[in-house]
Amino acid sequence: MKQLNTFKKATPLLLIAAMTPAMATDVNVPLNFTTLPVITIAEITPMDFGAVLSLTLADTCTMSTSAGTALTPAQEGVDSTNSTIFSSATLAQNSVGELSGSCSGADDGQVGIYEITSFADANITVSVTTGTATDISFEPVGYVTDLDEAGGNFTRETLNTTTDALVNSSTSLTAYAQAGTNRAIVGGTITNFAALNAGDAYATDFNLNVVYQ
Amino acid sequence: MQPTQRFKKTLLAGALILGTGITFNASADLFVVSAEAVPDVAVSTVVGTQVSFGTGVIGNKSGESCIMAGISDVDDADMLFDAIGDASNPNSGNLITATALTGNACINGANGEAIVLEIDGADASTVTVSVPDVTGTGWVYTPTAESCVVDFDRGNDILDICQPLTSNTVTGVGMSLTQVDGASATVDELPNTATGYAAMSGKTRMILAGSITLSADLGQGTIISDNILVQVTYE
Repeated sequence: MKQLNTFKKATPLLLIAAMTPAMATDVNVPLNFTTLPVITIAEITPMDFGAVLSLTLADTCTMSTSAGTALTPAQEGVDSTNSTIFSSATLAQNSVGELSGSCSGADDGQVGIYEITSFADANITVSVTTGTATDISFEPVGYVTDLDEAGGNFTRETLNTTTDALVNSSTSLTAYAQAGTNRAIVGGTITNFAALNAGDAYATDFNLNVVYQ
Repeated sequence: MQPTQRFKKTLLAGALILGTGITFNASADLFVVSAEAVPDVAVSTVVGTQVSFGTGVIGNKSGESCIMAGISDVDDADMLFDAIGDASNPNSGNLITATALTGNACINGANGEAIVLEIDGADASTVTVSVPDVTGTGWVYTPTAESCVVDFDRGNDILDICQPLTSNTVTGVGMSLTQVDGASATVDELPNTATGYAAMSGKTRMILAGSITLSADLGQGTIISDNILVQVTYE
């Protein structure tokens, strides 16, 4: 009976041990993300009005970004006439560089072309501000290409010192530009801040700013 | 005769407890009772390798979020669970590595990567699952309702539900019994005619997606890596 009593006492203890709860496990799952890359701006074509400025104080010379010589797709970074990509809205190749105001000579000027590289399909805001006036000042005016391949639309968004261009970058590589790019086409108006000297070269600047929306 | 009657009672109790066919004779002896606790719960990755919000997080969007779809976007076959309870699978073919991202803090599109984990417990057990927020410098990860753990009702497949991790913790999560469809006379774990999922007993699955909310400017081109802690405990 002593052995049987031992068995009877031990049984509850064994069962309690078998029912011990609260087992747990911890697992670490990798979490990753990367912020959008740094936006870069590359000058494709420098802006050049040519030897056309009047010598008179306060005279102005304006270079158009809507009239003049037609840009090629390679210059604009996109074939705006491609109805396969832009099935909803295509645009004719744009013409630029026409000079007006107190400008001598008949040739078109050379607009500034700047390639903005951000991230494929990113929404960006492009703005311009005037730079430091020297003997001449410059008021930039132009546009930025806006590529909505998903919607099949292409537009040119106005860019000047009071209007920012809100655009979408390209989603894929084309024959004319990398994915994640836009081009800013900039002309504008030079104003003589002083009487100029014939044959001298003059330069000023402007700021082109790009941020993610 | 008193000792003999007590022995008979003890013999009956011992037989019930042990469930064995041991025959007692007049002598007494010491018998070992063997038992083993349920196996420790285990968690393993079954679909995907990470929770990734991709490379399109907009670093300067302090106060904004990037939200990754999880249960609303996942293929039922990845979860071995009929999310709607009608044997349909509207997300069939969706890739866990191309999960939808929305919100103002990232480029929207199928740029995210969620992950499906399998919890291996015991058939009749329930577990508590916790996924705490992850806080980094200038950002917080939250599992949100898009992360969830499948809770099998083990009696009525219509009551199976993916319990959302909105509050970071869910309790009473039932492991699946052997899965049979609604045509069976035994326990249903799948809607009638749903036969596409492998038998899964003593297990369940969970999906981790969620959101990143920025609280500072992270800058551009910043790579963030951390870990999401998943805690599973038997109840």
